[in-house]
Amino acid sequence: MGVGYDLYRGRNDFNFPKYWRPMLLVSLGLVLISILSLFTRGLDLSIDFEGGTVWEVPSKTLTQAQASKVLAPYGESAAEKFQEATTADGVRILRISGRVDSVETATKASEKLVAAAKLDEGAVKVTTVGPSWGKDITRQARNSLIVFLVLIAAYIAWRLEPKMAIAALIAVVHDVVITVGVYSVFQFAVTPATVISFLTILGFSLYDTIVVFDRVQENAVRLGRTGQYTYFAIMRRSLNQVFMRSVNTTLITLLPVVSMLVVGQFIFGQATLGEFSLALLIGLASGAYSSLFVAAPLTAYLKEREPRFVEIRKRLESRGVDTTDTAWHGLQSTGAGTAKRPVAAGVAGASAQGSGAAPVTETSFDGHPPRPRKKNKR
Amino acid sequence: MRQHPRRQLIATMVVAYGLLIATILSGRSPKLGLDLQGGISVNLQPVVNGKVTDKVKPEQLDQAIEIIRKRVDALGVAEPEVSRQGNTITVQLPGAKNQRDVLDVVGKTAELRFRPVLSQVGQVPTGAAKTKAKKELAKLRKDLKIPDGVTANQVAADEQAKTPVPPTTPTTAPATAPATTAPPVPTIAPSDNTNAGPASTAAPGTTIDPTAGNGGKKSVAVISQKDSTTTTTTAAPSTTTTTVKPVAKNSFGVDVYNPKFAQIFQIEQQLATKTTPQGEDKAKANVTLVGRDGVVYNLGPTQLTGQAVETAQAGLGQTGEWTVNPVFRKGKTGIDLFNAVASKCFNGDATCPATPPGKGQLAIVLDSQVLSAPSINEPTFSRDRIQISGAFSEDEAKSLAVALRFGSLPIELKAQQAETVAASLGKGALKAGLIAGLIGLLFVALYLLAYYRRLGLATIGALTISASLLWVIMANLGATVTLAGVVGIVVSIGISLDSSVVFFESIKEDVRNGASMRASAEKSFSSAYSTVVKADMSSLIGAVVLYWLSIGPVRGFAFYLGVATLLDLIAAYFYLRPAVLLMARSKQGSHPEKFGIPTDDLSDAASAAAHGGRSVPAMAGAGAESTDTGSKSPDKENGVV
Repeated sequence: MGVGYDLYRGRNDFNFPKYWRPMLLVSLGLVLISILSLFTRGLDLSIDFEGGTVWEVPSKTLTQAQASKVLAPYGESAAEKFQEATTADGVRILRISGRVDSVETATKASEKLVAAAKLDEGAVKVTTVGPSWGKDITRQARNSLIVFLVLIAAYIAWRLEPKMAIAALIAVVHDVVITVGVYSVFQFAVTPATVISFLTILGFSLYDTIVVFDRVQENAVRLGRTGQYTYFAIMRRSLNQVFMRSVNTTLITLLPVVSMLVVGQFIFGQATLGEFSLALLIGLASGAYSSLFVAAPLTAYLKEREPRFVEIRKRLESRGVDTTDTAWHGLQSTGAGTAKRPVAAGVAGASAQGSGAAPVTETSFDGHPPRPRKKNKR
Repeated sequence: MRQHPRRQLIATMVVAYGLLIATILSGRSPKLGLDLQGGISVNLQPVVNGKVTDKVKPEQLDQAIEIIRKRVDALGVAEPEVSRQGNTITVQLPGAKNQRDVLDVVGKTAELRFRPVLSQVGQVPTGAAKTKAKKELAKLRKDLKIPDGVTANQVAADEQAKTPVPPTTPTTAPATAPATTAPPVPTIAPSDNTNAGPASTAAPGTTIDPTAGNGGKKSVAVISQKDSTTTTTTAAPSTTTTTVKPVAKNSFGVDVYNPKFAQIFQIEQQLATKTTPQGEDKAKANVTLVGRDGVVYNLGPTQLTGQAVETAQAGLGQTGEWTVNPVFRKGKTGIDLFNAVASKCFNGDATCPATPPGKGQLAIVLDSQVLSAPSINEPTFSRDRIQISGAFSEDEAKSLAVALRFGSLPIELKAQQAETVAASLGKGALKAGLIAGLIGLLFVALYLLAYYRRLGLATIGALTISASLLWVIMANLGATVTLAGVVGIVVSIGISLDSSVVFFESIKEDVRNGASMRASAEKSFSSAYSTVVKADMSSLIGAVVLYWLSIGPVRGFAFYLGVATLLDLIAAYFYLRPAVLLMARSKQGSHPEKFGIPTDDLSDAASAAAHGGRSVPAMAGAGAESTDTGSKSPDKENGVV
């Protein structure tokens, strides 16, 4: 039976802990590359951050050379970059960006441009940003980010667990750094739309992490009480339980985003839609990944060092249970607490499923996981 | 409610769809942002010596906003929006096309000027009265069937041309045929004395008592030494004339002898009263400007500016009336300038003639608007013992004080960011955003139906509920939808569908563990909902922080993210839960595979439990782990092994 078969039936038991270390190393590598690229290559900040003007001229005839000539009197780099796009209605749009950062000058320049393109008054899109405006936006984004992270950390620490708050924050920072890194490495233009997307990523990444952690916490309380499970095992169990949820939610969120990228940018030629969705696409994928492979292991490593779980691990080891085997054996499988099943049975069961997938046969399926429940519902 | 999911479901649908239909019928719809409908937006910040400053008092900025609002109104843009956040003033002009005009109007620094009043030349309706007058005018014109684009003046002129007896003799031939007696320009018969506008003759330029329209409520403001109070009252005018009933001859077929025509004529004259355009409001020139109460003044050259004022306070005078007490600067640049003009006004000099029954008036003008035109009751003043009184309301007194105070240091606003969007380009963006969003949604719906089968239907239903409510909220709040907002909504769809996914996965797990659909639906919802609430809180915190700390497009995005998240919580509780409960309790509930929950691989017993409609898994091997449903089976292994 295939993996999909098991996933659809909620019988997956991937050995997540096995992949944690390599995945963390991969993440660390990506983060390092991102930071390195940020320092060496920097970001391709749009004029919105450094001051300048973008013109979007819907004209069939206006050539880049003509536009350059028209804009030449307004400064050496009045026209730096040209882009062409075609809208769904078949209108060609020439997009020109340059460093004209005085609104007054840009107004005069656009009047000339409109005349050159033989358009009606105001039939273009012009965005002009003064030099200090961009700094303002950046400062605001930074402030929002700090306030947001502090509040979220406090919230997670309150509702779930302080150690989870630390792990969740690290995961979020990981997502943002990697997304920004992708923008730096590939030199995609960073616009205000991109910044909005970055901020969304924060929210989504945290959302995903909280859903995962809520299950972990539920299991930790219930399974932890039995004293039969290491935190690693609890974590592995929880991640397997929420895995399909994560996959489905990520897919559902990504579908509209991909649609905006493909339909919006490539079919309709709407650059802004593309700017929004590209950052979202990268960030959402990274957010789903980091919930399972960054936030979860960090929490596990932190929690495993707590005296309570150190003790459990020692006790299990002294009993000859292989604690590196985190596969799911059901509540009683490793338990010596009830006399019904000897410890060995659990270990044997574990070795039978060394591949990490749950047993599929009728007889051994009985070990199917109990669904943990919280005692106190809110 | 818990026992009646059907009722709850119906109630939710009635409320959500009902509100949607009511909103659509009422004709309200969300406003489109400039990036989607086209127009000009400008962000201004105060600058000192060319550098942006934070050190500007909020009330000073508010005053600047007021000024900009008035200027923008004069541009004639449909729905201008001027707002402030922090030290940034945002001006949004949908449909505007000429960025240069907008910048000229918006970015000019307002100067406070003191100008002597030469004469009062009439009254125009302002503010609400203006809107009312315009409405009334439209109605009256319709009554008389005056064609569009034809003024009453043209009609009158035409009538005049076609009247056998020349209009130069209207007074001499009153007894002849009615047609000849009727003056082409009817003398005014304000049949309605309560009309806000004062009676005026048709000929502009006639002096009018400015207080007439107010029924004497507000008297002319006076400037006096602090210890003296003066009020003036004026008799309300009462002009009545009789009209005759001649036959109209003009080519427009308008009955000019109808009293309504006189009204139309009067209102049109009022609305058309010529004032000096702002661009020509030069400090040294004579100008004609309108006061706050609609009185039109002829004003002399500027005698002193706000720089002469040191400060100003509003306070309650001895008689319990609100007064404004300006303090002028010392010496030549302050009080001396003021006293020079004050003595002229007091003495009724030609540059500042007396307006009986008061003395000469000195108008306080800010940005081409006369804030107040007090008459000067003393020849000289000491700089800190000046009082302006005149039946001010508290607000009027305070805003005059603010104007005087900041008049000494006008703020200079500079455009930091400006955007012009052609309407066609904006529409393209909206279309692309909507089509892309809908295609994305279609795929999401297909995926949900494929994976969760009938449960997917419930999710799609819940989505229509939150979409309806979102539309209702957007339309009724008059919120603006920007491209960033559209993206925020599309992204939040993913987040809101997640509550369904969490819920369904939880049911699936329960059923696979041997519980029945019936039993697990309710139980899973409470556990899933608690998870979703926790996670949604993080989205909400993010939305609030973003909304609070940022400006421009980020705000629009944050608003929709926050609203959509809240609606998700509502739709999940009031729609998704009862809908799934109903499905689980119906006959289909015995067939989990119809809900995307395969049971083919389960043991017979567990499968039987899942298919049986019983809520308590009494059979061995079923739902062993359900600790809080009162499962009695001690150990799953017992049942099967």
